[in-house]
Amino acid sequence: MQNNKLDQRLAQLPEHIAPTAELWPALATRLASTAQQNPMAAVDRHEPATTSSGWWYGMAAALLLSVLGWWQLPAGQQQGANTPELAALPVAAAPMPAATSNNKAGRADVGRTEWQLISLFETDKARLLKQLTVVPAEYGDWQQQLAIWQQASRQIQQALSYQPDQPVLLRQLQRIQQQQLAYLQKLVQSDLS
Amino acid sequence: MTGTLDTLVAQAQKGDQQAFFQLYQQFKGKVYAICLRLCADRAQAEDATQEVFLKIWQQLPQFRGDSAFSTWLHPIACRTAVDLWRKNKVSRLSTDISELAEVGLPADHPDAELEKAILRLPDQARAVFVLFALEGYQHQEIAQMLQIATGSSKAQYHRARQLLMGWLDAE
Repeated sequence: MQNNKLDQRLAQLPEHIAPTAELWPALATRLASTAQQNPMAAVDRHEPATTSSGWWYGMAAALLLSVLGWWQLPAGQQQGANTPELAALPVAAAPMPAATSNNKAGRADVGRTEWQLISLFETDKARLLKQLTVVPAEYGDWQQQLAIWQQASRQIQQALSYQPDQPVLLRQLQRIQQQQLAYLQKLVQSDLS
Repeated sequence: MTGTLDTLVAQAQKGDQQAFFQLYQQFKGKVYAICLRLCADRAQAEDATQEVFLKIWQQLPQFRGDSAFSTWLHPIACRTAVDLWRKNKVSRLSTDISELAEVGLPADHPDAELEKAILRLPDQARAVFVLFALEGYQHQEIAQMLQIATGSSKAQYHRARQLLMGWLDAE
């Protein structure tokens, strides 16, 4: 190969390559606990309200998380699973901030990072659910499993309503979302194979 | 477009994460391309991309608009990626192109063969080559970044070109 031929090909290489994984959720979690270097910057942040209710919601979410590992197993591998069919889970776009503001603290909006996490998650989830046509028998209770994750997510969001953008809660929320997406991905792959 | 970008930058400088999310969406491809070419590993490139955007977030209030935002961002991306490259580099000379199947190049990449060949280069030759041929740095700057002699940078660049031409001829 000639040198100039290589140079021609190099000039045509794209300046942008899209990452295959969505990096924002993890990044957003880290941003939430990373201050900008200029102390004069007018940072618009919510003051965390440390209430006992928030703590209890966080604990409830953590407890719920602890049982989720069991639910991730296909039905055939679970012991004593007896799960009725549930109605189809909603695949609508992410809830707008106002939709989750009906809490006792009278909070006007959700944290920005939380909203972005939810927004990206709902988009990915809807995309995966669209790809899903036939669910293999061993994942027969997949809707119930997703419903449990949804319940855990709601608990964490409730806790976040008392402590907006709290990094630990955001990480919990993100972890649950990642578990759901990994599970859905597994279903889609099983469906295709 | 520029007005929108300026607005987003101004908002992000005040700590607006939604504005920063828009900046991230706009520049993640550029940053990831730099990181992937330097790290030659998808997971490391993803980590490096996150690190770059964290640094951009931290340093954003220092951006005064003297240059284009993309110009300001570029050295932050390259230096952060080089830092991670230095931490993670493993001496290797991969001759099996199938090992690179996991880098996740997009299906519509205009020259995946060349891209994969670059990723196959030995670590130091690849870093020098990417910084010189694709990112526009001079050998003296590269030598400083990679903590090598300027002559080594030139030699590694020459070596990288020879390897690339040999591999591309063979395929």
